[in-house]
Amino acid sequence: MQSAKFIHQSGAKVGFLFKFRRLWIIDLLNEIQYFSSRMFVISQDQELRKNIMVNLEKDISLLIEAGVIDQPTAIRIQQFYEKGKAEGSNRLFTIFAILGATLVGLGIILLVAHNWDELSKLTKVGFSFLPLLIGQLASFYAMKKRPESRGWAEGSAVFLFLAIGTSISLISQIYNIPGSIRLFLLSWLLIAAPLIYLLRSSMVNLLFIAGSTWFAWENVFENNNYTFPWLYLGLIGLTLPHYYQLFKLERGRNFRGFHNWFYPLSFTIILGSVGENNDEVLLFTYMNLFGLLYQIGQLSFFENARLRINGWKIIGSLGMVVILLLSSFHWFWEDLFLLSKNDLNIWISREMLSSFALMLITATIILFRFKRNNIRLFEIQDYLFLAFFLVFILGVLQAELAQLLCNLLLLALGLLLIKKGNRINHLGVLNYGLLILTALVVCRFFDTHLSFIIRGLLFIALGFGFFYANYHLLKKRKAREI
Amino acid sequence: MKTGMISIAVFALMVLAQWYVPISMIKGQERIIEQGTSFKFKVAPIDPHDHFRGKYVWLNYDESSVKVTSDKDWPSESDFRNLQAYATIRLDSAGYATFDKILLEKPSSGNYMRLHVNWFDNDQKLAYINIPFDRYYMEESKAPKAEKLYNESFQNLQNARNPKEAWAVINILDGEGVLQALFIEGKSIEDWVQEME
Repeated sequence: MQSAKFIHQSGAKVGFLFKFRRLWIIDLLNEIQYFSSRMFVISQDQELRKNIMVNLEKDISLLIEAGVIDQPTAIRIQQFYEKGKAEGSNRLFTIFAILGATLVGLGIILLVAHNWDELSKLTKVGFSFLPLLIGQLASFYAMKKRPESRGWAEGSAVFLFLAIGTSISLISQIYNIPGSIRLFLLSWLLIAAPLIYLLRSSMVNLLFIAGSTWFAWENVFENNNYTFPWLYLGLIGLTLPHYYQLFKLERGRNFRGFHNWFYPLSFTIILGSVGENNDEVLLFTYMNLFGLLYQIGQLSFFENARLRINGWKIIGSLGMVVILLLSSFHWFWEDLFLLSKNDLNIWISREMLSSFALMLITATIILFRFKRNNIRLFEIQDYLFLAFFLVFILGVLQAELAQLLCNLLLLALGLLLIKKGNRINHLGVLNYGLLILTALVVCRFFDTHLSFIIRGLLFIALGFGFFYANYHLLKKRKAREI
Repeated sequence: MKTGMISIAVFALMVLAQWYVPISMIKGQERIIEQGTSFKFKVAPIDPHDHFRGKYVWLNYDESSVKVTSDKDWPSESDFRNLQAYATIRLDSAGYATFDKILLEKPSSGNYMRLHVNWFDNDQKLAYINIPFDRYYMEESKAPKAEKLYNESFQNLQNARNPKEAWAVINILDGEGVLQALFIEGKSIEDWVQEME
């Protein structure tokens, strides 16, 4: 209430700044909340582990008495669990180190941004190098003296990463250097890149992916020059060996999950920059990108991973559904029809060419999976991009037919997912299928040429569908348990 | 052992690069400050802020376009995205810097500024330019006061027909510049803010 009053009194501009700052604080609080919830999970984990250890000791002595295991085996079992305990506290230290280094690093950036008038230029310049020096010393210590400690490596690397940005920012501030954020980000990223491999820092790798995405974004929109930021691909390329390492090592499990989300999100954000203003064709390009992301998520690397850490698959699948929903409207095909009639160049536009490139990569992965035999022949999501390609070509000639086919594709996708959810006994997949059908119906709700009666009946049928499908699966589970 | 040596070498190179970037920035700026020529450009400042670099006064220059004398080499309008050009500088009767000519090639002598052309008015033969020195950084609490000061001087302009003149001092060397100071009515913006306090 007070804040609203403040905004009212101080005019719109101050209000905006105030609101802006509040949003920033909310973001920070969310971060802290997230980390503390992680801490809670870990501490609960440790509590549980302690209980297990107590029970285990009892069990082991029982087993020795009964002659099931001998003394050396008992010691080996105990050692195995002790090791797990040490890893748990290591992980806690790593998280605290990253959190601490990030907060201190960001705090220093804010202090520096105050722009101290009282200090001479020389002092300010000196101060701008101080965090850099501390970060470098800490990183060297972590690299040489504490190579076994993940906490030291991640913490010092993150701190140094932020310190680099601080020193460049401060110099720009002291000399009023006109701000091209693009060049600032690029030099920051390039001189920080070795940290990813020298300290094997996954956190810096994540920051690097985020920074590269920001760089590419600025590249496109800062100068209004719609050229694809090729350098972005180079920067992402720098991060890939680390990502590959994460699959080889047991320790990187959590970070692997974060990486699985960061890459596809970054690609989704940046693909838009290939556009030359042929929006309908760009939608087609996005369909192919999502097809590719989904295919990557299907690779054997992710076979045993839980679904929620497979960002490739989730973003790919959701993206394809969204594109199909958009193209289930008539206006999409109408616009495409007009576009293709007026301008034959769309067939060689950047959107179209990158679509073909993406399709080629996707097809290669599918062939590769066939060779490895880890593909089911009629899993619809694997071939959605291909189906959409055919519909797209058809749509240029016959808009109504293409629209109908898109609706049918969504219907088939929803039904097949429900069937699959039922088969593999997965409520998430089952309800995803139902949600696709619901979204399809909601979209048709806006097409006024369907009568109210039909729409009403469709909604009722879907509602019952939800009840029945979930009830059926839960009953099946119960029956299995018994 | 060998990999240890390599990692130390790479680390050392990285440290060097991390020092090289800010130091080369400082050196470039200091060279312009020491050897460059100082010019006064008329401005109209307002204030936003920057997440990394703190508060600044955003400068809006009076000089926004330059007459193009020969346009035969100029590209068509669609190619104007980020077109780099060089504007030669001369002094007007009041001693303010103003742009004389705009060229696509770097001049061999005289004072000039490297800048970007936003668009080109073909009828009027005017090139609309973007002077890059648009941020004057100030201490957090002072930038808003400086803005208030400017707004008041702008009101003066409307009410009493007594405009306060504002100008930025830019040192220029070989086309590159450093924004040195911001003045209103002959007094630096820092002095004005101090007087207000």
